[in-house]
Amino acid sequence: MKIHRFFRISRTIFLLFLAIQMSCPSFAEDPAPIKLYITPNEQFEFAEQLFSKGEFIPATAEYRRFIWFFPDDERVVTARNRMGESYFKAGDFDRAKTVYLETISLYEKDERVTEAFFGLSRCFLMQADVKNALAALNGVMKKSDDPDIIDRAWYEMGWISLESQWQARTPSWQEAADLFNRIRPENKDAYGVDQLLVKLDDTGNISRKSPAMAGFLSILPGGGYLYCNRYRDALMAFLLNGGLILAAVSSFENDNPALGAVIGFVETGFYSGNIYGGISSAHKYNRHQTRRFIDTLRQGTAIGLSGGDGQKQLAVFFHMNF
Amino acid sequence: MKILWPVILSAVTFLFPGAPSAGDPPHAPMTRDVEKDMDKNNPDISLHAVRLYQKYLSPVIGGNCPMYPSCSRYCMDAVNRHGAVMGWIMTCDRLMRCGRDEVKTAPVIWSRDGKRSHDPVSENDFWRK
Repeated sequence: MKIHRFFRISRTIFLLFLAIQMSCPSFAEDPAPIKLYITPNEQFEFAEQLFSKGEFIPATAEYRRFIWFFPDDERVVTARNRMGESYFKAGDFDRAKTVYLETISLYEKDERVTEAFFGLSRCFLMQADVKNALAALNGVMKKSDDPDIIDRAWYEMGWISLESQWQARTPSWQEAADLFNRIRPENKDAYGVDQLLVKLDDTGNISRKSPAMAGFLSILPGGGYLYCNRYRDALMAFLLNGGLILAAVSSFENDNPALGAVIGFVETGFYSGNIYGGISSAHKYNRHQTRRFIDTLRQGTAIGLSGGDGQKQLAVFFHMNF
Repeated sequence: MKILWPVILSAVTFLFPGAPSAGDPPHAPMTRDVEKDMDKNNPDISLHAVRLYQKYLSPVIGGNCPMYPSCSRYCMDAVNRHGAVMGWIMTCDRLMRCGRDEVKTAPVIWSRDGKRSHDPVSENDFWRK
């Protein structure tokens, strides 16, 4: 009987406990979810902060979030341009181009879309696509009525023309000068156009080597290299070709025509290579001197574009003088 | 005159060790694959000689070409792009320049093997520009 009573009391206590637990909200439910509200300003500033700290890829995600959640905000075009710039600075030129092209097609009536054209031009330039880089700047001319923006486009076109000269066999500086001259007189000081034009008049003093002369001098092995100031190459070419010629001649003299023919074949390659190298060295010398001239030219200018160290690539730099 | 033979042969063998290497700095993966395909598809016998060099000689000699791409790689690129005759001439030119004045003028790049002077075929085929 006692055991039966004990079980009844236990069951009552258990049911009571269950009832209390189920009725108590702190046990039955999760805590109320925290709702997070981000204002457009906070989101944009966060993206801007990442951008300014050089965290370009995370910045692109935050600009994209801003565009997605606040599509009606007036800074959407700015955010798109920034997103393109972030991809550009992260070295992803294809994605940057996609963002800029989308911006141009979606917001063609917005004045800020001109910035997308400038960005697009830089991306093409980095991919050594000078033609499309110029076409993008022509797009700026068509879209914008602002004379300041058009002057900026002329200035960048002038620099693209300058930079594309360093690979040219006979650089044509006049085209760049003409483009710089199109900038309105009131903006010429700001862009330092007069100083640029004075320096461009100095192009006749750029040291150059004649490839034809280098080839001619290479008749004596090493002469072409010597003409292009490559003294060690010249010595090596002279010794190697001289040695091989001597070896070929001596093998023929010693009735060993087979060996003479083999050495003669090898020597033919090295002798031709010596002439080829002389001509090639002259071209390289000229390119090097042109590159140096452009590098000195851009020093102290407001905005410039730079060549990519022998690569078929150009880089953009922004340099402000204070 | 017979004393010249060892001199000539050592001059030639002196040129080659600095040139090619099995441990070449790698190209970008995609480019490397494309180039390998190009090399395989090119029936030019001169490339077989370079491949043999890369496979058996270079690992013994050690990859110490100061240029990028290495001379053997440059040779294959030149033959693939411009044929056996021009490729051979360009390679001879490269062998004479390797590690000398070109180091002072060519842009420097860093590879897994350290500092190298960047001198690809495209910088030397001036008639194409």
